[in-house]
Formats: sequence, structure tokens, C-alpha cells
Amino acid sequence: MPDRPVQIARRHFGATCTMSLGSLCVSAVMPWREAAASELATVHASRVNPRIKRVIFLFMHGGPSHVDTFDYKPLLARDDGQPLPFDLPPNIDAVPKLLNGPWKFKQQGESGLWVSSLLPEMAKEADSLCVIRSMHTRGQSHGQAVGMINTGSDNFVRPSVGAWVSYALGSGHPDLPAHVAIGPATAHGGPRNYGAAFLPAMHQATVIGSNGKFGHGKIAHLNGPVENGLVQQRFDLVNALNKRHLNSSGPDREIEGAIEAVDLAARMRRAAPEVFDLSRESAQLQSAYGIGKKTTDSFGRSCLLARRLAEAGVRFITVSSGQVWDQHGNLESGHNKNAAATDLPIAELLRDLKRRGLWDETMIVWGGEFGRTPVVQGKNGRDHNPQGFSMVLSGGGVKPGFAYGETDDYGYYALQDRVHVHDLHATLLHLLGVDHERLTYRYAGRDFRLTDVHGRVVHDILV
Amino acid sequence: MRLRLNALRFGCVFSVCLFAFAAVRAQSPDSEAFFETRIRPVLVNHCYECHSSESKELGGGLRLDHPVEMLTGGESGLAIDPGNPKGSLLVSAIRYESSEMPPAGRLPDQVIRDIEAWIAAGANDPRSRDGYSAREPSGIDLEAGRHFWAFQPIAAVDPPADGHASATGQIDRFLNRQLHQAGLTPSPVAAPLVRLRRLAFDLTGLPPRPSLQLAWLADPSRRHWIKIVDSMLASTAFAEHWARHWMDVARYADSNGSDFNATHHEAWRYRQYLIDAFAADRPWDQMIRQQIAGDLLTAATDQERYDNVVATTFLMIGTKMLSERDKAKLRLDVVDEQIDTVGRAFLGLTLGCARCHDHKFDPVPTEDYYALAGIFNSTVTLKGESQKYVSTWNRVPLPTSQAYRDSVLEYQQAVEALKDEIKAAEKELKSAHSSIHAGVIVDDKAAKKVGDWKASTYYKHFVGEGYVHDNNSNKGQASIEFSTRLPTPGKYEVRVSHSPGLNRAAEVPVTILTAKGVQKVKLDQRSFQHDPMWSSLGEFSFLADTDAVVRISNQGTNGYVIADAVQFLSADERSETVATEEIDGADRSTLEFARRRMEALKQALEALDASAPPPSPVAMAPSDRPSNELIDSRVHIRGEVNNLGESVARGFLQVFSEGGSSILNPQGSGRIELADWLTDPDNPLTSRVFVNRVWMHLFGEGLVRTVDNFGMQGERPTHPELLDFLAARFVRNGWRLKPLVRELVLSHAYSQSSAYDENSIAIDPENRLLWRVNRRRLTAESIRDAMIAATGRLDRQPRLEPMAGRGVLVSSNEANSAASFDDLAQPCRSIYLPVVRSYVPPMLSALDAADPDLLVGRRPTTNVPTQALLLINSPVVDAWAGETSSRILDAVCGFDARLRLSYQVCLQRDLGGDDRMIAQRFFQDRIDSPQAWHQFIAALFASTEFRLLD
Repeated sequence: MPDRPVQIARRHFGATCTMSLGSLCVSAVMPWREAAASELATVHASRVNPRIKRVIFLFMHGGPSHVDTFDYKPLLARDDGQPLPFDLPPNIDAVPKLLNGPWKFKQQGESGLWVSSLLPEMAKEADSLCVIRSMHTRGQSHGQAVGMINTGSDNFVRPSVGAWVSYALGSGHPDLPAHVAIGPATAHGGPRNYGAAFLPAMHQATVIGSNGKFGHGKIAHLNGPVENGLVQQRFDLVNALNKRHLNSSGPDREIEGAIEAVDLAARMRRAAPEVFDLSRESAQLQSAYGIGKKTTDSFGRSCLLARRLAEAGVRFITVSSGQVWDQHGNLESGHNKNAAATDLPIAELLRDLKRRGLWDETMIVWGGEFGRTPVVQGKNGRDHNPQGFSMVLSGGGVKPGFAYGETDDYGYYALQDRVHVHDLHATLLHLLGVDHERLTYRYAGRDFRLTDVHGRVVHDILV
Repeated sequence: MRLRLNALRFGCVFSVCLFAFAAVRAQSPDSEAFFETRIRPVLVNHCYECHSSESKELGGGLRLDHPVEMLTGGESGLAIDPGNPKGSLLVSAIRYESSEMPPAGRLPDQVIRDIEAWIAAGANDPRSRDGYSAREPSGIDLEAGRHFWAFQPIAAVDPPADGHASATGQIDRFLNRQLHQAGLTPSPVAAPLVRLRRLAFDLTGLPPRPSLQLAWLADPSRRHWIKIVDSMLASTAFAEHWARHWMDVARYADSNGSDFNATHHEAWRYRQYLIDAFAADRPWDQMIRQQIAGDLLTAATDQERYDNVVATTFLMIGTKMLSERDKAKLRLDVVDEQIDTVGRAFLGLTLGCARCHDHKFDPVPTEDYYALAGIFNSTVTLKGESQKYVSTWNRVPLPTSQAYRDSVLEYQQAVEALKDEIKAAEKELKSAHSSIHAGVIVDDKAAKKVGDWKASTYYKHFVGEGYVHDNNSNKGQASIEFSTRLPTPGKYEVRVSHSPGLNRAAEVPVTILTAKGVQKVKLDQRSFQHDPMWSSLGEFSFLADTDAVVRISNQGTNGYVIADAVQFLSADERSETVATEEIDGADRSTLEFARRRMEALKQALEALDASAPPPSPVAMAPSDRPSNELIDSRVHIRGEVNNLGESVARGFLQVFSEGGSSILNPQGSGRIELADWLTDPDNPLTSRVFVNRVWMHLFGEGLVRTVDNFGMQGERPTHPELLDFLAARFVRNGWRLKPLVRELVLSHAYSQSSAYDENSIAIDPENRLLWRVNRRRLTAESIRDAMIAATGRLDRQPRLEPMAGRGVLVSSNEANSAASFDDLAQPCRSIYLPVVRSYVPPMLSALDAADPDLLVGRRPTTNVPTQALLLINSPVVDAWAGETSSRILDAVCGFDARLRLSYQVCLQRDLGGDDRMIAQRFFQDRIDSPQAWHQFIAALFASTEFRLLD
């Protein structure tokens, strides 16, 4: 069942859209989508029993260490400094000597979920977290693994997860985009990680800030180089010119589409400032997110904006930490710094969503492109580990206070109930009510999927 | 359901364990009992869910619930090879070495060992063999495939008799026949200025100048039209605009993008090659040969060699995961990208599909893919690493001019000569020194410095090339240690060379490591005792087996501390020097002279380096592998690196020819043969695909609307005979672009109006039969160029080497730093802007410029709000609007004249009735306000009419 009313609102094209129960003709639903009617497929996917309406991906770029956060390995502490009792994977710089991290693990909350002292605030929310400890992915280098987590491909140019979600569901807000990226990185694929690739361009993310920085927190070019009144004058004149053009040409999709786009841009100019204005939140809430405190200000703003966007109807929001979690050396100081910047805002985001009744219909995903080795690199660092790592989910439809899957005794390889990144993607789409095998797009002669020929929904973590 | 499965699984593991203890000796792996207790439960519990007749969807086409099916295997080939566990796919899958089965988690090692033992013992499978039906062999029928229109030879067609008076050539006769059959008539000729604007943008990508507008209005005759067409075809702007079209297909970019945004320093040569080749109307078949195999072609001249090599950059510039550490996989991915690009670019076929399985729609079996893969696998694309794990690409030296080679030689000779002189001067300097300074000398250059020491040559009597001082700062943090092993043990006088002066430190602490241990003295550097500037520290004993060390520190000093050299004088040497207290003036000036000469020579070398000829040019181009590495490729089952099937001889697509499609005797990689095959006049696709793209650029849609896909999943041609007529003529006339474009734009069809017609639209709403001209959007590049043209500042000079000065990466690959490319505001044509992957300017991408990550045969035309926001609010566009309005205000006076000029400059047409009304409503009483004019031009820039061709 669709989770919102469906209306036929297309104006000029005389196209009609028939609804059948259980299938959703998304192209005719929201003006945001309507603006680009010429590039829409008719039916993208049937939504079956959607558990959530949106995803917030808290992307911990660089790869936080799972054995220092959510994957407790007592043997690692015992055997600190000992040789790794099995082979290293190929192509890595770490030496096979175990390294125990400086943080203490404790069972948290009623669920007794293990969380380390690195993330004290997230630990308080342990009872609402669902930790997958048996993640694995492809890509020993950042580029591949970042591509895999964000686009489902470690080697080819493919649409981003958010673009697929936008393509499948459209926006939940008439005047705002479906897909927003806050602070995305410029490297490791850069725009590709929030891009549309061969999907229609409208599905690429609208970008706020860059490289983990919130920046001015605004959509580019909403305001002009001239004062606001003059911009409005410009919009009006452009409209008059375009309408004259349409009058002289007769009905024309291209001109009509452009007129719609100008109209939508004008509406977005009116709608966005309100949604993007964080000062509408109480001072108390802002400070709960860590806004105003140097270490947490930027990520706090990003998280608060993510919540406001979620509330407004945006479908897929990525909040990037910036590539800060890549501690090849100085694990302790680096991870401490990153945790200090993100832990509180994330925990408050969870609490805030719950207070507003949004948590149940949202999926928050926390994690990096891979984890880190339980063995040491250099004096005091850890190398990349795609062989096994953790991702944390929180929100509607998944088991709270639950840990799933296992790595080996030291946290190197995912062993039990392995979950590939493709499986995570399949599961997220499933939660959104979309069958990952049926969400396809025809390009270059064949049907493409987010999960390519892979992906299994991880039913074991679902409520 | 899940619970039950888990319980079963648990039960199974449990029972396997029990049996492992109870029956380990009793069961031999070829026994039935072994299968029933150790193998079958594993298959049932871990495999049947996806690999049995009951499976919802059969995984990989493999059934494991039937003994015969299990032997014949699935899509990946044989699952088990009885007697050979190592060669059995099932084993590598459960060992997680090929695929990872079962996906939920690796089976316990004991279970894996059981399965290996069972296979090694012959894989005795007692299950019932009923219900097996042999499957059809994989289903590509090449013979049937050849009947598909695209693989049919190009037909010899004559244009039909003229059916309509409007026809101006043979093209119209084809079109008119189909229009007539549908009950349609072509539209009348469009208004002169509409036609001119259309022509100018289509041929040159630029608006027609106002002077041309006036001249054409004065004489809108066919003769004049032909003259204008010919002059545009001859212009550089034509070559630039049409080169850009091909760059979309060639996924041109000045950087790699992806994981490691490496700078393509040399890609611009390829861009320039395209512009030059289109300007010269080089035959397209020759350009294909150059782009596929240019590095292997013989060349008569250096220029030809240069072009040949640079053209192959085409194969190189796809985006790649350069940091992939599995280099075998990376190589396969690069080959895949090349096959996919060549397939779509030249043949309009999506060959990438056949990497993992036979093409599902087109008659391309997977062997054909690997026949091509062998060619590209025998080609070096990547070579070496730019840093650990990160691959970089092959580079091929380019021919250089005689003048360049002369200048390099001259430079090298000059450098050598200078270096010789410097060597000689060094010797001289040394001997000049030794005639003044006796004993063992350690210069500051050889000393170990701690802290900051500033080099100086201010005071001229130094030893060596200069001396150092502590800059009278950071006291206590700088020290310098002179150490040497003396030739014989014994007593030496130790002296320090330092320039004297009143600002020098009076009590410099010096420690000396002697035979008696560390001894400390203080040195007063305000004056010296011996010429030229030696001060004695006293006499000390030194051992044979330890170094003599003199350490000067600035600890606790007040004033400059100088360190130039330390001298150890034995008793004999001392008496000599003491005897010649007065150093010979001649020696002094010899030393001075040697020093000056040295200095002059070094300066000369620096100057020479600065004027060195540029490094010798290279191209980003492939090479063939050495002959012993030229190999056919094996099929990679399901496209996986380690899942190898049969080897396939290098060759082409079987559906094209009834005889063999393999290369009999490959000369090298096989790229020359591939190029010859692509450009064979009888190849049915190459010319059709090219002609169709040209048609699309001029008419908005191709005769085959899916311009990159001529396969079953593509559209059928709307005018098959016209397509063949044009393709045949194109080949017969020497594969030349300009005559083709000329013929198309001289047709009536091209000159028609785009006006709406209710009756025609009812019959042919998509205008497939071309009863009117399609209204089309300008390219992003043309929109930008037209705005700059309106300012009057468009610089028509080409920009070469857009990435000069960039490092290996366009920015640091540390993800938190960004490079900046602010070229957008530069007044050059857009084709000369760098195309940096991940940094395509939002203005261009919002207007649907080709995504350089992808092969783009037909750009999408989108209407998103971002576009409107950018056109209305971008500071760059606003600045161009401002410049344009000031230019118009300066050029003419009076509201009407200014309005008319604005329309001429921005929309290339005269004023109509409504235009004045809209303008008057906007300006009201502000007709002289520069700000209002600025606003007005900005709105014209953002209007649909500006970016659409009517």
C-alpha cells in the first residue's frame, strides 16, 4: 500500500495514469516529479508493506573500527600484541600482530548490547540499535568500498542508493527534492556517490556543504547575486517571456516543461528557506544537538537539518562525516576526535526523531565503507578491513537492541550470517516497500538494478 | 519459517558431528552411508533452498537435488568433477574462493573436508536419477540473428519519384513518400531568421552574427543559403562543435574521476586531434582506424604518426578504479569498458551484456565478447603505478620536430659542458684552499647541524662554499658538530674558522672529544688570530680508533655564533703555517678568483635549466603487449576473474559473417584487424550508426531513435531505406562528414517550420515522419557560448593544455580537500574548458552536458528547477547579462533601438508585436535604467527562446 495519497496532477500533457491497488504510479504524484515528466518511467516498483518512509544514512567516511565500537572481541584484549593465528588477506600493509584498542566495552541498556566507551552517547540509545556485526564488502581501497556502499558497485558507474530511492518513490514534499546529501566528499568518486548516473538527472542529490562540513547549509543558487525583490522580478519576466514563446509556438512539451520548472524553482525558493532554517528550533534543542559547541557544531547542524528534511518528506538523506575515520596511525586520538564530533549529534537525532514520532517510519543507518583490521598498522593504527565490519541500523522495521551475525574471534572476517553490502541495500529497499529485484531501469540494452545480480533481504533482523 | 530453518540447520550440524565421531572409521567416502550421513544433509539444509526443483528462483541455473543435474552443473559450468575436488566449482564455492556459498556463512571446515573427500572418492551419488530432462543448449541462433535488420547488408536504394513540390533533394523524396502515405504534408519553410539561427547553432554551435542576419534578410535566396552553409562548414567553429559531439561518445575527460582523480595531462591532444580532423574532413573510416589502432599504423610523416598515436587516446580515457588492488580484476574491468565503448560507439551494440552470459536479446554469444577481450587484453592500457596500489596508464612518446630535437641536443650539450667546467672549477677551488689551509679541514657543509643554521657567503674568506650562523636567535637550540678520523693519533692544534665582527658572540661554548674525553673551551668570535680567519682552541690529543669531534653550540651565547670550518694541525703542519704567518697575496687572490668563477658557473647552470626545452611530448595511448604476451582470452564464467572457461580465439562478432569470425593470424594484439573489420565497407553497422548520429544532431532524433543501440532492444528505423541510402552514399563518397551535413541541411525537411499543426499532430504526434522540424534545446556549451558571444567578448582562440601545472591528482586525494576549477567565467568556447570528472560545473551539468563518466550518444533533455535557478541566479550568468546590457546601452540610443538590438544579440531575431508590449510592461518608466536593462537581458538569457531552436 502506498503511504501517501495519490493524485493525478499533470497539467498539459493529457497523459493519464491509472492506479491499481498495490502498484504505484509515481510519475503523476508529486509536482517535484511532474516537473520532469518527460524523463519519468511510468511504474517503477510496486510497494509492498512499506515499514519506513525514508532513510538517513550517517556515512562515517574513512571506515570506523568495528572492534573498537560495536564488535566486542574479548580474545583481542587477551592476545594483544600476539601474532594473528591465521593468514592476512592479500594486498594490505598491516602486519599480522593483534592490537587491542584503548576503549572499554560494556553491555548497555536492557538489551545488553555491547558498545564501547568510544561512543558514550550512542551507547545510551543501545536499546534502539540493531547492529549487524557480519558486514562484508568489496574493495580494499576507499574508492571501491565507498562506491560499493553508496552505489552498489565497486568498479562501474552506477546510480547512487539515494537516486534509486528517489526514482522509486519520488519526494514526499511537493516542492523539495527526494534526495539530499549533506557534506558529501569531493574525492573517492565525489559526485558519483550521490549521483544519478544513467537515471534521470533529477534523482541526483541536492547538495548541502561538502567534505563533512555543513557550510552555509543552503541549496545553491536559491538566491541570486541581486537582492530578493529583483530576483522575483526576474522570475516574473522570465515567465512572461516563456508564455509568449508558448503562445507563438502552440502546445509544446519542452516549453511547457521549462515553464513548470521555473514555477517549481520559485516554489522551492519559498519552501526551502523555512525547512533549512535551523533557528526555528529552540535553543535548547539546538544545544542538545551540540550546535554552538566547537567540536559538534558542524555535524550537529547536519543532523538537525537531516531531521527537518526527514520531517518535510525528503526520502534519502546522507550525512557525511568527511573522510576522517581513516586511522592508519594514531587510532586512539583520531577515533576519539571523530567520536567527539559525531556521537552526541547522532544520539540526539535518534532521540529527537523518537520524540516526534518519526523514528518508527525512518531508518537511520550508521557506518563506514568498511571496518578496520584487528591487527596493527605502523605503531598504533589499523588498516582497511572490508572482510568484516559492523553497520548499525535504527528505526522502524528492524529489531531494536539486537546484534546480528558474527566475525571470527578477533573480528577479522565475517563468519556467521554474513551480510554483504548488496544485502544491506536489498534490506533497505525492502523496508521502504520496494523489491530490489523489481526496481529496474533499462539502460544500454539491459535492465539495471541497485543490487545487480546480488542481494538478499536480511529477514533475520526484521521485526 | 525462519525459526524452523534454523532449527533444522542446527539439527543437521549436530547430527553431522555425531556421525563424525561415531562413524568416522566405518564409512569410506565412496560409500552410500557416507553420502547419506555426511553429504546429503548438508545439501538439503544449506543448498536446496536456492538449488533444487523446489527453489523459488533457481540460483545460477544449478540444481543440487538431482545427481545428473549436479554433474552437468549450472551457468558457471560443471559443479563437480568426480575424482578432482580441486577442479570442482562446488568446492571452490564452499571454500569461499570463487563464489561464496552458502551466502549466509561459511560451512564448518569438517563439512568442507567431507565434501572434498566425497568428490575425491568419485562422488558416489545414490539418489534417484529419475526426472532428468536434458536442457536445450544455450540458445543463440546466429543464423536467425542475421535476419535482423541491423545485421542485413546495406541495401542499394534509389530515392522514390518526387511526391511533393517542396522537395529540394533526394532526402525529401524519401521523407515525402512516407508522409504522403500517412496523409501528411511537409510544413512550409520556416521564417528566414529562424532558419539562420537553426543552421548557425547546428553547424557551428554559435549564434549568427547580427551582420549575417542582416545580409541574409536582404537576400534569402537558395544560392545565398548554399553560400552560408559552405562558409559555416569551412569554419573552425564547425570543427569545434562537431568534435564536441564525438567527445560525448568518447566519454572525453581531462581527469580519471572515480576513486583516484588522476590528471589526464595529455587528453587535450585528443580533443585537438578531433577538431583538426573534423576541420580537414578526414574520412571517418580513417579516424576509426586511428582511434582503434593508430599506434600500430605505419605513418609517412611525423605529423601522421602524431595523429595516429594521439587518436588512440580514445581507448584510454574511460574512468577506471585505479586504486583497485586486485590488478587482474582491474585489467578485466578496463577491457570491459573498452569493449562496451567500442561496441556502442561504432556499432550501436551493447556488448557489455555478454561479459557474464550470452546476450539476452542480441545474437552475441559470450564467446564473441571474449574474442574481443583477447584483443584488448593483448593491449597495454594500464602500466605501472603512480603510488602504491594505484595504477597509471601507458604513455607513448610522440614524434618531435627537428628543431625541437636540435634544441634538446643543444641544451644537453650545454649542460654537460657547464658541468665539466664546474668540476674543473671545484678542483681549482680545492687546490687554492689547500695552498692556504694546511692540515685536516672539516667544512660546515660536512658537519652535522642541529637547530636552525642560516647559510651565508657575506664575509668572503670562508672555507668551501660558505659558512653558517645561528642568526643570533633560538639560543640553546642550535649546535653543529665537525667530526673526522685523523690520519695518525697524537697531538693536534684545533682551529675554528669564523668570520669576525663586533656583533659576534664572545663566549661560544665548544666541546672537543679528545683522547682524554670531552674537553670544554670558550671561543671569542669577535676577532680571529690567524689569517684568513682562524681562531685556535688549543692543543689536544686524539686517538687512532675514535673520531675527533668538535661541537660548537649557541647555548648561553650573546651575539652571532658563526661556524665555517674546523682545522686539525699536527705539529709539523703548524710550524709550516706559523712560518708563513703572512699568507701570500697571490694565493689569496687565486682563491678569490676560483670562488667567483664557481659562483658564476652555478648561476649559468641555473639560467640554462630555466630555459630548458619542454619535456618531450607523450600521448596517453596504448601499446601492444610484447609478442610472447599476446594471448587469446579465456571465457570468464559469469564475468568473474577466477572462474575460467574455454579459451576463445581473438576475433569479432560471429553474427556479421557466415564464415569464421576469428582472426587467422593476428598481427600483434589484433587491433589493426579489428579496425579493418569495423571500417570494412560491407560492415552493416558502422556507417549506419554514424550517419544516424549526424541525422540526430540536425533533426533532434535519429532515424533510429536509440542512437547507441541498434540491437533488438533498440528502436527500428523510421526510414530504413533513407538510412541505407545515406549510409551507402556516405561510404561511397569516402566516409566524409561535411558533404553529408551539407546534403542534410540543404533539404527542405531541415528548413521546415516547427509550427504546431493540429491535424498533423493527430496523425503523427511524435513527429516520426518529420512533417515539421523538432523544436530542440541548445547544448549546454552553446548556451554558455551564446551568452559570452552576447557580451561581445567571446575569445575564439583554442586553449591547449588545460591541465598544465596540475599534479598527478587534480587535487589531493585526501577526501576532505577539493580542487578548484574556476574556468567557467573564462571567455573561451566551452569545448576548451577542462572536463574534470567530479568537477563538471553545475551550470553545464544542469543543462545536460554529457556526463564524462558515461558514453553519451544522445544527451537527455531535462527540465529541473535547478536549471531555472542556475540560469536566473548564477553570478556568472548575471555578470554576462550585465556586460551585455552595458554594451547595448553604449551601442545605440532610444528604447526601440536598444530593444531591437537586445533581441538581435540574444535571440537572433527581429522584434514582434508582443515583445514590445512585454518589454514596456516591464520597463514602465525605467527605460533608461541600466539596472532594468541588466534585469531584462538576464531574463532573456533565462528564457526558453534563448535555449531552444524553433
